[in-house]
Amino acid sequence: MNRQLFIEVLRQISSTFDLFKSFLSHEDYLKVENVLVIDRANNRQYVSGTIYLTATHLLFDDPENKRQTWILLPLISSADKLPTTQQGCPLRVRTKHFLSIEFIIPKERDCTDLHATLNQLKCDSIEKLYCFNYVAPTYLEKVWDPFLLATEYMRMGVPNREWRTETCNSSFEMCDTYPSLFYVPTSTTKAMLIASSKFRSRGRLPVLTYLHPNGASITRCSQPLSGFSQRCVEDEQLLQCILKTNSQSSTMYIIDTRPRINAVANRAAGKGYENEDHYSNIQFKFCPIENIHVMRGSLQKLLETCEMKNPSMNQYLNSLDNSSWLQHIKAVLDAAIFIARAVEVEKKNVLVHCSDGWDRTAQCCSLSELLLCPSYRSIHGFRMLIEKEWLSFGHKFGDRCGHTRVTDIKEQSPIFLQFIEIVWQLTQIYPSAFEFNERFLISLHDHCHSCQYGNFIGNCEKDRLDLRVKERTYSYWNYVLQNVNDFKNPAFRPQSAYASEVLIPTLNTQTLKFWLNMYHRFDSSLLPKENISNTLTNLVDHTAALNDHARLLEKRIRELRSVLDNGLSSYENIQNHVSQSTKILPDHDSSSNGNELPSSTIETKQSSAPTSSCDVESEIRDDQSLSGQPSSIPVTLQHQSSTEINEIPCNERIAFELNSVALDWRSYRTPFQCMCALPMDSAQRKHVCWRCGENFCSRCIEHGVRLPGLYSNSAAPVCKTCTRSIKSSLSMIECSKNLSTVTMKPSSLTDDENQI
Amino acid sequence: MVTDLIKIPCVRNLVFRDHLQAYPESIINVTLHNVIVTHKQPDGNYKELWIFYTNMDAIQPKFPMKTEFRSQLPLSPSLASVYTIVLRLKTLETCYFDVPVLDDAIKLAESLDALIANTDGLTCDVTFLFPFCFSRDFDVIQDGWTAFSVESEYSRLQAISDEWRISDVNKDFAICETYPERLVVPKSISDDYLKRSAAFRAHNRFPLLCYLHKSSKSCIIRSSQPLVGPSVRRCKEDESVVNAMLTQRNKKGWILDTRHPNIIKSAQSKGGGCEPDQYYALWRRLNWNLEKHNLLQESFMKLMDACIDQSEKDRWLSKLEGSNWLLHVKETLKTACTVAQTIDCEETSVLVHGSDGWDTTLLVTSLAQILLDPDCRTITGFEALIEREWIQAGHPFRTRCTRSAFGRSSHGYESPIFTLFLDCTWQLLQQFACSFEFNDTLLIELFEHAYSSKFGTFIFNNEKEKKKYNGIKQTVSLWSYFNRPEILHTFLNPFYEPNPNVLWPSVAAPSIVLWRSLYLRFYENQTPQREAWDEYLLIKEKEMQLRSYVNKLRQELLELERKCTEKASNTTSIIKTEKDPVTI
Repeated sequence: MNRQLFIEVLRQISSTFDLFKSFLSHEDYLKVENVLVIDRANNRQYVSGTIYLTATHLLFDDPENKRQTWILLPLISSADKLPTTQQGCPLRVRTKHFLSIEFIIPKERDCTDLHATLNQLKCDSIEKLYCFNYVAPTYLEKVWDPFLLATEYMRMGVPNREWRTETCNSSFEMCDTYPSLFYVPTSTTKAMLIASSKFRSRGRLPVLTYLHPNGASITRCSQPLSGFSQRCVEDEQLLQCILKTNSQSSTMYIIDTRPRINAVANRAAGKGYENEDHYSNIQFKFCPIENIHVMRGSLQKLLETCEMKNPSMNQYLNSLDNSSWLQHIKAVLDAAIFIARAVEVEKKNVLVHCSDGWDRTAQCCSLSELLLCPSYRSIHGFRMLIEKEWLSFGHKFGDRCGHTRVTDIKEQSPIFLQFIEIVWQLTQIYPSAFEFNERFLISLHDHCHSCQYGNFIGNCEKDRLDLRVKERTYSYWNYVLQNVNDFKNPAFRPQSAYASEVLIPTLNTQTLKFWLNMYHRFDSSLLPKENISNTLTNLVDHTAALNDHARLLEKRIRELRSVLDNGLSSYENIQNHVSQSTKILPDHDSSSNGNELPSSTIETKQSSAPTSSCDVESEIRDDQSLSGQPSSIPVTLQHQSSTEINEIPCNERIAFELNSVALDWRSYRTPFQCMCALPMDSAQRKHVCWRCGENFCSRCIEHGVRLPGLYSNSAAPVCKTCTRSIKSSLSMIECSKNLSTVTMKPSSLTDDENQI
Repeated sequence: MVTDLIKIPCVRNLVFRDHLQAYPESIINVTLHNVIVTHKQPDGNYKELWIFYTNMDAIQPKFPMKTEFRSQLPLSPSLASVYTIVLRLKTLETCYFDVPVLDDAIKLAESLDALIANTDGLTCDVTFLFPFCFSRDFDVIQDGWTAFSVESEYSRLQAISDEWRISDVNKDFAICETYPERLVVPKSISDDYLKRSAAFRAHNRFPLLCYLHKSSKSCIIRSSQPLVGPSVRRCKEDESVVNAMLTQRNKKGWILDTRHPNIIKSAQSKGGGCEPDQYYALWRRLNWNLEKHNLLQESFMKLMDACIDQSEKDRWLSKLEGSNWLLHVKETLKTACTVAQTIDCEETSVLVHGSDGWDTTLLVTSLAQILLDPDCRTITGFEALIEREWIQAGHPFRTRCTRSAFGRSSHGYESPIFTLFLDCTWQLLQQFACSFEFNDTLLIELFEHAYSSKFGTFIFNNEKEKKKYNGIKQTVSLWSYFNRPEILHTFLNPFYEPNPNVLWPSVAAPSIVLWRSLYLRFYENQTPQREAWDEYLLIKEKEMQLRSYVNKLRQELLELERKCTEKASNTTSIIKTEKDPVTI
């Protein structure tokens, strides 16, 4: 729904095209002029512009509408030449984040060139992926905050009496797609594990992945190499060991997430599923989820539905139905709900596998854990879940997303997309149970494909270690952390009755929706014109700005009062006033937002006490200033360059402070165009300048400005015009400071109060 | 006598179920107007559920009703076998009653069946309906019966144009039974012309102004079909009436017929038809194929059938497609957009009619007004729109809403036209989430009250009927109930920011979505959605509070600053003498 990726790219390269050009050496880009693009909403309308092809991006510049379409090359999934028409030679570019754009190029040779170049530019080796060249904007550091699998297991209380750490895979000798350490029942022996590993496809033996507080666990593995009659006593013992870790149930589930027929067919290849005769106390269940090839085909059909030009209602629904996409989504979610129910309600251990245990198994395990454990529904917890289930246990991101040209097309499949979509479906069913929003899910999906960050490179943990991604690339999670406000769900209510518990939805086919904002995000004409979630984010930001500003105003009022009362030397007066104003203050504590600033109640109480150093200090200064220059009081003013505290005449200063924060923000609907004339649609993230309250596009807003009207010294989003005017006012104040006869020594006043 | 229809007054010890919960040991009491289901809540308290017969759509006993089959049933059923009566309500809820005794079950089912039939909108005695027995249990702040008068509409109109007058030509419903008594008509047209024009239109529904656009002064006009007939009759007065409504600036207009050309042809052979080009030279014609009321009913039934289907076998999306409901939504919105476009962009007046001018015509004209007029997107404006364009315009609510999605009446006049209007409004609401003062609760409440209500607003077919049964005295208006702060605030949209623009919604297939919060509200747990909504309200409220708090602080600060300056200039000398600072 947003163009986070483009925004990111824009931030990274430059906001102006000139700089962008100088960024490239001259022969590094290809330019094609007079290219027509069909407006997808209106088939008869064309926009004309220029294509620039660089080493990293395909850019379509539409000068008339001032609209630029940036396509990161790794995101391009296909570029096809279509039959030549009267207007020229059409080239259709489809991307992995569901943009489909048709360029009509006047000269056939240009089209052929572009087509060939695009295909050549597709990365042919993992070493050349974008993340190894990517230079992030300065605010992102190349720091990987370490994810330790052990910490996550520690949180679940593992190791404990039943489960122990196993390190025999420390150099990936037992299983190269598993993490270097994993957790197995304490009663197992190394020999047992080695034998079991040999009996499982690709050595992926059953290991612990989730331990529920009630003692029931989820373990995961790949299919056994049982064929028609093979058995492995150690593998059977290992399962018995797993069963015994949970004393509450005498049986355990083995969930084979394949349709029965697929599982049976695998027996002919020497694989298959556990024979219930050999494994005692086992309840075996198939959860029919189709394989990667069926899913790929289904997505293909879904995207064809999305590309239909002006379909009738029935054509559209029919095509959507024929894609079976939502049915597959339901099958996966059904399996996850079954597992969650087995663990929570039946209190049974569950062993999950599919064929290799890295696609359907990863989906089912991670989703059932998301249902079972509230902490996975926070942004941090969700990261942990992905690190554990998808990255550590070896989901083949490289192959499934087709990062390089060399990957077999048959290995590609939207497995992770399905997972993301199901999480989205859950956020639709439980709108306040998740800390993150839709934008986060979309961004996560896109960056799995973009190869901009090193997190999703390669097929397993070992690959990433070999590639030294942690040293050579940026981490996606760092990016998320830096932009966490964009990704938060304002309606998140972690303490509400259902959000703090296990979620077990009753799922009907009617429950699942089509994810318009994912698959149609570039068709802005189809999307709702006004978007509640953006409005909510806006409201929350506005509240934060006002709160910050209110704290400064409270402080100024206190200061002025003390100036006034000083002559009368009546302290009670201040206290009365302060307590009055505190009462009127809206109750900050009752808010459900965790990121609330500390309540100002505490602060006012402290400052009204005579022993508080800062308050007394300010009084002394008041006296001095009054004696020196009657109409001025001390000023604490920070600007971005220094934390030095200056003094200016009070009227001027207060007016300056009041001016620097907008009381009202322009509503989200009003601007259809940013100041820079960039047209904005409802899907784009708009930024409000905290100073003037107007809406801007991401390019016209600066994030590093400290507003004098804010109590906290944190940077606020401010538009370019306001940034300039603040800077000039600041320099004016500098001048007046020099003229002023009274100067104060810098004090630690502000720092002290910030800590309160 | 109604009491004769009650074969069993009370059944005990049954299990009452809905889709989300079951309540054992419930009691059902059959009374004159409703059944009262007493069921035990999880907290141990008993709760009464009143289900009015007017709200019962269909009753589906899961056992043989006819006596000849009874012998086949086991005489003394074990505890495990119960006799289930499925009760489908017009509000789209489904209730299940598991009755332990067959005889009771049959009697209950038969009583309910007869009592439901007794409330049929076409045949029943209106004065017997519950709204006539309902005595108000709240204080009226504003009487809904008088809240939306022709006079207030007229004064609004006068601000835009002075070419209109109020006419009493329809006093005592003399010329048109389905129009209100007082009407706004062009000044240039005399009452005699109106009478002649009325005679030329089906059901005497002569062309009437329903909306005048502020910027272009072009207007939406509605009527019924002209009685042209196979001989292509002509009525010069009717021509003058419609021509009088054209704007000075743009002396051309569109006639939008909501019917398919084939249907118009067959209507013409039966005496109806549409305006012949040669007589209405200033008007160009446009046809839109909106389905007739009986096809919509079929579609609505299929839609709900798909919505309540719990089986995995049938593909939900293909059933949804088969219902054609979303197609109707899409086509209706598209038609309304065409009208809005003509009014706003082409600045041309539009005359809308179908055959009777009280079904699809109203659908199109009212939706076009929501698109065009920001006032219609406020709560009062929306109520006024419904009062003006639906109730006073003579939409036959009683016959149209006599059955909802599960039942079928014998006469087949029931149709979800008003539901379709609410659905289309909801589509606009979800595309323009910040442009409406109300939220979907208001739309759902309106849906429920249209089908079954304690109030008299939706129980009459037209104004004449309301007057005949003295509805204003005898019943309470729904608007009186709605327009009280405690009810109104549940309808408020926290994200509302008045939007003066014309709305241009997307009518592409992917943009039209199922109104889950109406059709599926009893079949999916709505609690998480409600909680999220509460959270939204909190967020908005906090922002508002903080805004006014900051405003207050700012004023206080400026006031203090002023005082400071004053004091400083007054006391400079004093302070200069007392140089000692306050001791720490």
